[in-house]
Amino acid sequence: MSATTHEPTTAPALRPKRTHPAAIASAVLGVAGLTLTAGIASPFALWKGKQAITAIEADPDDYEGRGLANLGRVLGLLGTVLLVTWLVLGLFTNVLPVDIGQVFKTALNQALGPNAIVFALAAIGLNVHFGYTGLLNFGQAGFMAVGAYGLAVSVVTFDIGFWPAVGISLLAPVLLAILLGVPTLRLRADYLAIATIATAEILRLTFGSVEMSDTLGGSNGLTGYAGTFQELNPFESRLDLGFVAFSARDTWSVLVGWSMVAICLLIVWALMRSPWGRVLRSIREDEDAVRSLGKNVFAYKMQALVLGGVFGGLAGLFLALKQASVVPTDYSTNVTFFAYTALLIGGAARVLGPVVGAMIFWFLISGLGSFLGQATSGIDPLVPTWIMDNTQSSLVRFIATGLGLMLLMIFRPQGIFGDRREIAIDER
Amino acid sequence: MRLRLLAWFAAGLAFLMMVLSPLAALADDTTEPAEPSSTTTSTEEPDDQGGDGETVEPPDGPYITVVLQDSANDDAPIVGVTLTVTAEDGTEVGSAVTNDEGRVIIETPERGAYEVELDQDTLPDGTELSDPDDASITIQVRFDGPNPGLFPIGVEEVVAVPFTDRLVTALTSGVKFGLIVALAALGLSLIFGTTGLTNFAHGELITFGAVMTYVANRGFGLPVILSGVLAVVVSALFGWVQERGLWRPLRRRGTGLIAMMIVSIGLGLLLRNSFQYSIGSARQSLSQYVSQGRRDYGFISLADKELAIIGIALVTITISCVLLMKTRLGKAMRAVSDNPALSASSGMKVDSVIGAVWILGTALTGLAGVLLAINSQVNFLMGFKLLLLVFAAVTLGGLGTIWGALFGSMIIGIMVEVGPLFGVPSSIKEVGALVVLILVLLLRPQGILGRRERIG
Repeated sequence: MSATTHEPTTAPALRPKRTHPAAIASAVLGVAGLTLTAGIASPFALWKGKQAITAIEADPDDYEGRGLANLGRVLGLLGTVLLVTWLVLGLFTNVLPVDIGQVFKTALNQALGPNAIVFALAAIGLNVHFGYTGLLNFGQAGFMAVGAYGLAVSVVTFDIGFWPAVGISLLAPVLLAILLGVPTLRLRADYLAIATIATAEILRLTFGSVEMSDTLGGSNGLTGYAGTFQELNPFESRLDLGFVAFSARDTWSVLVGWSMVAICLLIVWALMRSPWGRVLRSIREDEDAVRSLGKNVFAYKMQALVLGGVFGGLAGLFLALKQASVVPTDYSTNVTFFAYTALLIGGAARVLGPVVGAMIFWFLISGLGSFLGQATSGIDPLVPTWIMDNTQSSLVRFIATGLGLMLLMIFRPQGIFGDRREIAIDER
Repeated sequence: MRLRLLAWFAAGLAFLMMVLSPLAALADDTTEPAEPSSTTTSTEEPDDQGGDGETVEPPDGPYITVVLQDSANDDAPIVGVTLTVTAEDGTEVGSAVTNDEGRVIIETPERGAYEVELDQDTLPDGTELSDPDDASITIQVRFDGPNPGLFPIGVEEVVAVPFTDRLVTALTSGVKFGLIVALAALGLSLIFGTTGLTNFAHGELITFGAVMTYVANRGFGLPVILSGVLAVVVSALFGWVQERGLWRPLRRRGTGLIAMMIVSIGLGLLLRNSFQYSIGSARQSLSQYVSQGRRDYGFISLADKELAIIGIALVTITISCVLLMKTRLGKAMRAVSDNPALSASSGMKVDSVIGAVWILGTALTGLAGVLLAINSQVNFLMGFKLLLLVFAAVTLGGLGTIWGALFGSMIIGIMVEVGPLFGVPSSIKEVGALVVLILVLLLRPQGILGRRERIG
């Protein structure tokens, strides 16, 4: 089915001028830089604006949008001045009520800390699904949930030992992937997306339901299963490296977590350069061609779904271990969307893409949160309360995330490291 | 006639007041029955057992006050019920009988935890606790000022209500909910049909309608009805702006459908958090039509606003369908939906048609939000919560078909509301609809009324 509209093609000379995409990007980034991101987006607005002007001058018959590009450049310049000002003021003076060093430290801590690991693992799973195989799984939160609840329910409710429970937690996503894959893998991409997102919601609602709170803990979740994990902790004191600092417990989580990430990356790297990985990529590019070569496309897709699902389950397992409690709200649809954002920042179909993306995502999110949080707190906040109060400041980063996801997908779907030809975003 | 009972032990309004505090603070009317489906027609007066006419004077020192109300019967006070207060160590502190306000006041010697027990034998005929096994509550009598905590003993329906009555009630609210979903589903289906976009920001278009109503009503002080009309117009405008500013440029530069789907996720995230930024995370009420009593229409009983909601939705859906079936523009929309390339080559202005579809689609979706806001409350998540149900409705009927969207919405709406009667846990009643969504995808992915080719 072809549902996109195609402009009637006319002779090239009569073709209407197009606004250069970089000009739009520049204007949007310029506005965003001044409003949402405290100037961080502004240098990019300048850069895109310059790019747009160059392109328009080189090809004035085809492109327009000089006005937009100039707007972006002006706003970008203003924002950059703002950015530099507060950076300088914040780092070298005490004029600002915001401690820039603290902001960077928070951001770096989060970028290397347990939260980034959770999203890195989830995004590695999505990379196998979406990046390599072209499966649009919007239910990664569901895989995470069964991974986490697999452990917690086994230990707390059924009183199984810790290690067998970890095994169950690894098996649960496999089971979910098979259950989910059998009906949905034959569907078109958007149907798969809806089916997976619905499954994730069913799981979250069921895990949080009042009626089953005896087994699943209801909306308060479950605790008291991570004792074994914490007892294994060899660290006794806080780890402080100057630029980052973790509590003893977090240090242990971080060590285990990044090791898990490394193992997953190794698996993905090895698999994707094998013939098996090449088949996956071919399925992404042209399913029918692969089928005509005699490959069982369904089986390959299923294997990819299981593998990525297990990585998602690991993310859930790690989240459950590091915070020693599982609550259903941790597995909402937003988690999946943020994991996608992380994947798309780093670049899909690249081994390191999801990990770098998750680190950058958490760096920006928590840096922005910390900056705005400080700027809006205190008796005489930097930002007047009628513009933004402290509660609202925590939302700005999510608004910025939404905008970032849109811009990323429109202007640079390959992310930082990706290759545009390898992104499965064309209609098929 | 049997009275259906949801006796709320409505108020363990355990206030502790050290000295002379105004009893006026006892207002506990803020509670609403958890089950909106309560219908009772009883006029039976409970016989009083002597609590009548007592004037209530707040004593000096700490005391416990409890108000008994029948939530199934417009929160009517329950008179003549004996309540006994026992201290933690088991000694009885005192007992009293509810007066004609349904209230008792029992002095307590000091602060601490007290257990209040209701003597179920003294309940008036036809009234019983929703959970007869749990006739007592524990109240913390605290020192620091009024503590308006409510301790309902059970809010579940008692099975005493005939099944058919409950079924009719559930069916009615199912139809109402289904019609609201249908408006949104029609919008989603129209936009999907003509552009192929699976719009994950569609839920936020519902919220947009509701938030605009709220802003016009509370922010600018306009009456609710005028605010609703304005909100629909602004929604339509919002759709047009979205189409011109975002989706059309994306189509022109040849962005793939999956990329657009992810863009819509980003847009949804942006809008959702912006709504929360502007109206906060609490549930907000409009200024009018908040709580209306129900009128009895023989078989069913409905509040006026519910009747209006059903009427408006029905009329709007009918008009939209006639528009789509009969007018030139409607034909053009269906043609573009069928085959955009062919429509373009037969001289249609495909982009204008899509623009019209966005205007119509977002207006319908915005209206769904307005009706939801009037029906209950405004919240930044209301549309997002509905999104998957709308998807389920559209998929069930058949993506991209108009009749399918209507048909699917009604089924989903009724299923969600009737499900709890047949054993679906009511805290997760949406799950049933989502299971149906997955089952439909498994058994008949093109939907009940869809055509085979659409599953691609």
